[in-house]
Amino acid sequence: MKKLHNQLLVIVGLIMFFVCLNMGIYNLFTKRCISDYSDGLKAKSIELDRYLPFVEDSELVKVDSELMLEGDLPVLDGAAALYPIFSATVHAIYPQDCVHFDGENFTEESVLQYRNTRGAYKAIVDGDIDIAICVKPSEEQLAYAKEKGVELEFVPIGKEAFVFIVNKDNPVDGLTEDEIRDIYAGEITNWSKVGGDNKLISPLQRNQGSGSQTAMLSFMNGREMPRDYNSFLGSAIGFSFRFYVEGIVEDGGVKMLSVNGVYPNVENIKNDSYPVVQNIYAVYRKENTNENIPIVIDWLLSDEGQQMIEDTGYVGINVIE
Amino acid sequence: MSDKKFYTILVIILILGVISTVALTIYTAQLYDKCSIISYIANEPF
Repeated sequence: MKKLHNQLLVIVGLIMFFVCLNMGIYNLFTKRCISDYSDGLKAKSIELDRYLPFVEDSELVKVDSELMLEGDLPVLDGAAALYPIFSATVHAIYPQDCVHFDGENFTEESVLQYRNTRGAYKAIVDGDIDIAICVKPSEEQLAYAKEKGVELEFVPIGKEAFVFIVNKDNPVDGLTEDEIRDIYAGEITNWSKVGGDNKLISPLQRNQGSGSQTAMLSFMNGREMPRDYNSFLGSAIGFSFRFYVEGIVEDGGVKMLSVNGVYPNVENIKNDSYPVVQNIYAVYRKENTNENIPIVIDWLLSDEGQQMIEDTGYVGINVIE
Repeated sequence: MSDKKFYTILVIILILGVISTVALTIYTAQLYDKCSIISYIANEPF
């Protein structure tokens, strides 16, 4: 009887070990990676069909422009976060039958494409698209253009704040630029060193070649940014562009940090007091002779285009009259 | 129960346990590759 009792204890113990192990893995890691489908996060996720041009209930900014392109229409593509800008451009000045969406993505013959930053830079170099709306390219993307013998032109059309985010319960509200660089270089590893709780800092990075990863490498000014796999139990810091984050800071569980004491709001981006601002560019191949390219770019820089960019949620590069 | 039955049960539980842990780890790794940085920070357990 005692033997059976002990055997049952061992069996139950082994089952409980695996149950606890798997629950621990789920609660510490898996749950964090599951997309939060709260209204706040949903609202800012870039779903193609929510910002389609020429659709009545589309959420993109609709501009009634007198300009209407004819002839060889430039194919537009760009960064995921900037899709509402180039979709709104097509809606404003392109004819209605030029966009083809198959329910999941744009077809090959559509003048509006969606590949995100990496895909758009490759496509502009390869000649698959005419204008890419992106932030600054990575060194690898520039090297690819050079390897292919392609010279790219970059026209700034807007500005966006590059922001640093933490969990809303993190007591740290702001960091200096040097502190952020030291964190990502691995020199500051505990939140207590920057006025926070005694917890490890888990500095998160994005995929190589993505717009925000390229922006972060630029921010680091040549300093190494090793990927940290040891502090996964720490409290995270990440980076993104303001457009993605601002609408969800209240109920999305994250908050943006002030940098050098300046909060990344529209006013501080416009007056250049927020120190980490990226230009949004209209990028095209110098040798591309499509006569509509300068027309599209001029429109983006016009009052109509700049108002569209601001109404979308970014900051224009020009002062609107 | 007999020792043979006991060890058989232990081995089965061990195999199922390892399979479930490995499967959960692989699933988590796949989710991590695609997850939103904002979700990851917002869902922080601490």
